[in-house]
Amino acid sequence: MAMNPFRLRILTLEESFYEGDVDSLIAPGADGYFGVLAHHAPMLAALRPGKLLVRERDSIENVYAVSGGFLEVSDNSVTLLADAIESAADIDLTRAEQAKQRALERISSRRGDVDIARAEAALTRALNRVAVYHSWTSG
Amino acid sequence: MQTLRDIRRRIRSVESTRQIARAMEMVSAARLKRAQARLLSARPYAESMEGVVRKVCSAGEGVSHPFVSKRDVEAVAVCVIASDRGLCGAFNANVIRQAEEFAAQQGDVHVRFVPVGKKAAQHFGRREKGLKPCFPELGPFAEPAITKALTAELTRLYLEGEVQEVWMDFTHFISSGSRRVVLERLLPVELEGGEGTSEDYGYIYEPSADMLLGTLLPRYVEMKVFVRIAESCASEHSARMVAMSFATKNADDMIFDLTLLRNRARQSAITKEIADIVGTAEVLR
Repeated sequence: MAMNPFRLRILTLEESFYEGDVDSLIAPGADGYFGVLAHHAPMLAALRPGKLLVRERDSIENVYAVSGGFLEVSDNSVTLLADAIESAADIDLTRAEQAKQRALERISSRRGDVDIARAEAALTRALNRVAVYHSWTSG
Repeated sequence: MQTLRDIRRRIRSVESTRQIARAMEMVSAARLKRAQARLLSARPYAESMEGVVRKVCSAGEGVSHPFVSKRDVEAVAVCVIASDRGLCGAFNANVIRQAEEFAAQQGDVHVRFVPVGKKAAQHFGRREKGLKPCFPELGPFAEPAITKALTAELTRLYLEGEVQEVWMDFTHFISSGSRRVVLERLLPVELEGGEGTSEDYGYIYEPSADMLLGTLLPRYVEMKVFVRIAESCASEHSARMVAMSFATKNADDMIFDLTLLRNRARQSAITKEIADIVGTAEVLR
């Protein structure tokens, strides 16, 4: 079935990550996952670390791991300002697992010089990457 | 008059200086390219975020955050972004002068300098021993690590009430041939509200506009700091490139003049020798 496409732009501070016409997307909103189709009402949403699913035309599905950011819908186009984003295919599982271990060790060490908030943020990001990788390989 | 040997020595020294200047010009050109790429790729993100912040801020009455509220100003912080190295023309002198002019205009308001880059740290450290916070190591490119540290310090000064305004003094990169020193307020965040509010009605905010602003503004401030460091780094390399290309040209001119001088000295030495020989022959006859 042919769907109405809309424009998606994914930007990070380092690069313009993606730009193209897509049919739909599902993003990890701060209050839970939400979907966007063409002609969505204007919206501004904060994102938390999670899985971004983009369905391109010809029903090609792309999965990305987002580590937070913001999403704006206006004028039938979506701009996603990501803190960091990577394609599920690019995720290095061993590196993600290592990062997870490191973060866990730092949290459990309970030393005074450890920034717990930063370690927890790192852990969330690592867990997200691992989770996105697994859901991508199993799906 | 310099002797022939002196002139030769001089030429050799100018030549090696020229070589160094030329090499530095090349290095700066390569670094400029990288710094410029970093700056240009950050701009779309920066512009989008700018728009998003403006929309959320104009969303309505209920929006409030310490980053946007105005307070009576007793002290301000000026973050001066210079470079780690010299040999870049008036680049460092210009930002520092701008900061001092600004400070001189403040009257009763206490001004705290937050130097970034070794040159700024040296300058302000001379006047005030143990100046803190201070970031003497900037590196050739805008690094996320220093951006984070700097943002944390600046927001801490602001939120703990040590200063009521934070300004940033940096060099805005226009093109490789032109740049301009800019002094802009970082905190509180300036709102250009009013315009465009009518067409933006009906936005859905998730979570509420207030909470969205809470996560958005710190990110926005960090982005601003990053972009300004990136601007300054690109400007630094372009300033150094221009300064070094002038230096190379000046060295060329000097070598040209010295070569003339050397030839003349050599010629007159030969003439003198011939005159001596002729004179001696005259006597011997």
